[in-house]
Amino acid sequence: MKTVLIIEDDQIILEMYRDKFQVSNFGVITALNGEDGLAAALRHHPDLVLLDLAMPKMDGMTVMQKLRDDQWGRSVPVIILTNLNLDGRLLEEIIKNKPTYSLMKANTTPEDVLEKANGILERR
Amino acid sequence: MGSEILYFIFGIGFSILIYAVVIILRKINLKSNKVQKIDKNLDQTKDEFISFVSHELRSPMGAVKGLASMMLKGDYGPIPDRFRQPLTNVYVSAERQIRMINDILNISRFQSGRIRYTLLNFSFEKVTSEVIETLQPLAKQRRITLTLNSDGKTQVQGDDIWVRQILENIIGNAVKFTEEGGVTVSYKEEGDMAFVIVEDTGVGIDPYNQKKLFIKFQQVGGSLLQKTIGTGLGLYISREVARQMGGDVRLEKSEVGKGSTFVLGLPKSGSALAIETRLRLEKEMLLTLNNNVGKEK
Repeated sequence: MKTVLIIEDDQIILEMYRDKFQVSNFGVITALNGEDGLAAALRHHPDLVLLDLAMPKMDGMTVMQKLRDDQWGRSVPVIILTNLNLDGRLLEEIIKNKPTYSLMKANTTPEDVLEKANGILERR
Repeated sequence: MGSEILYFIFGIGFSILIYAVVIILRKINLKSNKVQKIDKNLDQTKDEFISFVSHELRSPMGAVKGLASMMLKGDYGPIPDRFRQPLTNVYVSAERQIRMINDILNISRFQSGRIRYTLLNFSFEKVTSEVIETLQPLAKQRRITLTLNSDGKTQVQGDDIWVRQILENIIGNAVKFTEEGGVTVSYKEEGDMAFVIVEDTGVGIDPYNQKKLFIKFQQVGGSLLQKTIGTGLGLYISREVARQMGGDVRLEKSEVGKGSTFVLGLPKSGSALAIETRLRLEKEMLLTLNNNVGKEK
């Protein structure tokens, strides 16, 4: 069973993705802020990370940087799920940390995210 | 002696004048720096506000849309038939709201030059057939046909995510404004450009409203068209973005009661126009650095 870590500070959205991945037979770990999310990632080594950007305690960008500094985290696929427009400096910063994909949450459905996740995991 | 005094007085007067000019210029410069600083602060505040709005407005609507889609798919168990239509309405309304938010934010992003493009080579056919597939349920619901009637294998250069949005807008409008008959999508080439042609047998647009089509916040009037709610920004953004990619969106022809034909044109891959567009966007720093990231589906 593949495991996905969802790091998302909006409880409703977190539960929505959790339910979607659980129904699709994924093991799901969740975290409501960046700090807990990073700790969970380094402890459990999930197969995939869904990462929000704007979060309390530690933002998604810092989580990405710290993940990429870690030997295991260097290659873990990360899908950025954000409702921010990725423009200018924010976009350049994100690119530096090599996410696997970035999706605008509001423009997708959980089904789209699941499809993208399955595609990424199949290619690995 | 008299002339020496005059020279002396003139010299002092001239020095005072120069000094006064220097002081004034310095003040103007200081003021202009202050104005620049205020402008910069205003820009920053505007950016932060837009960022906040984009995040805070999209998040709850995204949850509404996502949860409705999961319920419709049966992720929370089977739903009674009588709930299916109301849930579909929830989904469609949330999506419409998100589109409006996106349109308004895109205008702001476009005007401040924050939209970046990832120029790829792809065939019109691939993107168009995907868009048609997503719009088929709407066409079926409206009992009209939506058909693709030729090959569009010519490779074009553009940002495929934006091209998809433009086609969703043009083909979506054609479907929404057609009561009988259908919408036909085809392709053509001309010089350095390749085109997607969207032809409908819909209500058509009178000459007065044709002039308003590509203007910001202008909605085409008329009892039937007023049924469709929108920001009136879709065609404006579509055309501006297409032009940035070296292409164009235009109304080819329209007649009230007979239908309309819209076209989207883009530079063919490798053409002089494609190269020129890439260089221009590079110069204006409007290209993204990566092909996967920065694309908001």
